[in-house]
Amino acid sequence: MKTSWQLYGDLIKGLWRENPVFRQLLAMCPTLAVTTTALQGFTMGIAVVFVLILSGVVISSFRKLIPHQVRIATFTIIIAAFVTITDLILAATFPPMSKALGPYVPLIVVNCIILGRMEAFTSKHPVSRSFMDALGMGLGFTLTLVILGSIRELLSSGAVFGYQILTTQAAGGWFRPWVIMILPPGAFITLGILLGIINTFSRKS
Amino acid sequence: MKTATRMITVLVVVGLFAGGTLSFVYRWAKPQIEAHERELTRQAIFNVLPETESYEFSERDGVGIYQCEDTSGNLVGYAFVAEGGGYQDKIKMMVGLRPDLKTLGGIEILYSRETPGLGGKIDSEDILQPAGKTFTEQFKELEVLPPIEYVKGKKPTAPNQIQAITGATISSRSVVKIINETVAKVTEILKEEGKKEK
Repeated sequence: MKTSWQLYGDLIKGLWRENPVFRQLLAMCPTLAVTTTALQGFTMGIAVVFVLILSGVVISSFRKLIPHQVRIATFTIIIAAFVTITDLILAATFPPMSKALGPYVPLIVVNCIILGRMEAFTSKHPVSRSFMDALGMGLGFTLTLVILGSIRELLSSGAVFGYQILTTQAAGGWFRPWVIMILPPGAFITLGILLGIINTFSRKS
Repeated sequence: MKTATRMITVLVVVGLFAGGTLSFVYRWAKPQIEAHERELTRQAIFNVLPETESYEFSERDGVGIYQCEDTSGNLVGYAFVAEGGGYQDKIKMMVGLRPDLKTLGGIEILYSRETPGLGGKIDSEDILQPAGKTFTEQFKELEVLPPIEYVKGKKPTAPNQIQAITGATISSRSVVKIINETVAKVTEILKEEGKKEK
């Protein structure tokens, strides 16, 4: 009973209490760069989930064999291999998405959520707990990117996941798209406002 | 010494495994990625020279040219990739040139990273006013002799003019410049060849 609660805790902490973006402020580069649409944020998030889980399971299984002195180098090789696999799969199966995400998929190698989790959690815990931790952190990251992407897509084109919600002026409606939301400042403004709201609420409770 | 041996062993084994897995995945993914690229090229060629039925690729003086023919084997034109600097990053496009070497079949943007909402409109469905066409549509059957010119905020009058996008003169100018330069280069190559054949 205790272990299943523990596993649940490992999963759930990444979604909110230790959310990698909102609470730990990690991986700002992909967070700000790819969230111009909800779908791009979602794809990026799933790519990170994939890499996190696979490297987590591999590293956790061999954690006792890896010498302490070269652990970071070993983690990096394993992570880089899985990232390249993800990049190739994406390019082979979803070429438009691979093109839209551009260099940000290969850049998952240096994503600090992944190396951070490997160093802080996976290298010290068994496979089952590492798996749950990786899944939780990955889903927390995906959730954050989808929220940011949806807000920016809605305000910049009136749609979410390509589904039109507000009718734009070009299509005869009233909504005038905010060009700034698709540009880099839009990412900073959205993230800043969300962080402000979250910090205000968590201070009260 | 013992730690050193262990460190080396672990790194070598991990490296070998990673390399092996990658080459395996790469061998699976490569043909699919290449097929997607071929498909994109094919579609771009059909967009810039709609009558094309088959095409043949050849590299002439360092420029890749697709020679396009229709169903009955008549030459419908030449398609080639034109590339150059835009406002933020390079702009890459497929250009179709008619056999008379004076008219464009059309153009299609293959790659660009211009400012969304401004220069990004070089590759959008937005209709420009007063020209009444999208930016790329303006290049259909446009004359390239004398070289293409752009006008601002008014309807093009000459057969070699296009309307620039408001607020994105640099992007519009870059597209025009890239096309003019590449067309001049390709025309020269094709004319040289014509002379040799005669």
